[in-house]
Amino acid sequence: MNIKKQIWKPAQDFMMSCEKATHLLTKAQYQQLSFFKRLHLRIHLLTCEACTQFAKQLKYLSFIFDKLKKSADKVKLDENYKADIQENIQRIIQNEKKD
Amino acid sequence: MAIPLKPEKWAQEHSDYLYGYAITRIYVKDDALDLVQETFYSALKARESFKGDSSERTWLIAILKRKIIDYYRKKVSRKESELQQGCADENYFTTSGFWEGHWKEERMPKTWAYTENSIENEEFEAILKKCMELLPSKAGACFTLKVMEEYSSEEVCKELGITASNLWTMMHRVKLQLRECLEINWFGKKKREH
Repeated sequence: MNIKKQIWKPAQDFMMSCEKATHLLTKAQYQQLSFFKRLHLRIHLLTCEACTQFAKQLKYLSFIFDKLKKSADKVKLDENYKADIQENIQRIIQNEKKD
Repeated sequence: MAIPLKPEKWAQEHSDYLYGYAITRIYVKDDALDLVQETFYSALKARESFKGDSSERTWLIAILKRKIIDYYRKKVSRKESELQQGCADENYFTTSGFWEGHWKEERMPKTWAYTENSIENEEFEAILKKCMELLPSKAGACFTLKVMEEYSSEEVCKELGITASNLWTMMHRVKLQLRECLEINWFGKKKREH
């Protein structure tokens, strides 16, 4: 019982959980973490392959979303739909003139 | 007015771009189309306020950007039950024992088979959009406004009426879910095929 209290608990506290690590990794993409947190995270990553993969995948996801942002000007709208939109615009302008 | 607006050419000149902008932030085709229409309506109504100090397109995009925020605000304020919709099982980590908080064996991130041109691939883009659609609405709203629209954390919190710690919880959830969705449907699969 005592062993549990004396060793288990401090060990658990020192070992950052993957839940915490992935949370910090997410946050670190957008803001600077404190020196201690960065160090603690580094230690976790040294021993955790899954979180190391998670970190890599986060980087790749940012890359994907950057590309997605830039792809906005490559999209083409259906010509029929465009014609509909223009028709609606013309109608509104016409009605304005009448008023 | 320095540069007059040309509404008679709007559909031809700007609708592709506006739609492209909307669909990469809204992910649902019909909703994105609606926003484009609404943008033109609002723009027509606000024609007088156009000062000509920006280009016509920049002005239209500014209107669309506001519509995107409103779209997500509406989505987030809807009932709780709807927020649960599309919400994946969120137990990624063990909840007891010495390894509490560590990855569950079956949900651990695996090595991805990164492909150079996956982003240009239509099939991949469809999966990505599907995965985005599946995000719970609050989490999806946080992610889109923060990452795609590049608002500051403070602005996102203010617009959606959430706290900063709530924002990070949402962002964390998005990354966990999105990562897993792409692994199951794309990066994991591809590896097995080759």
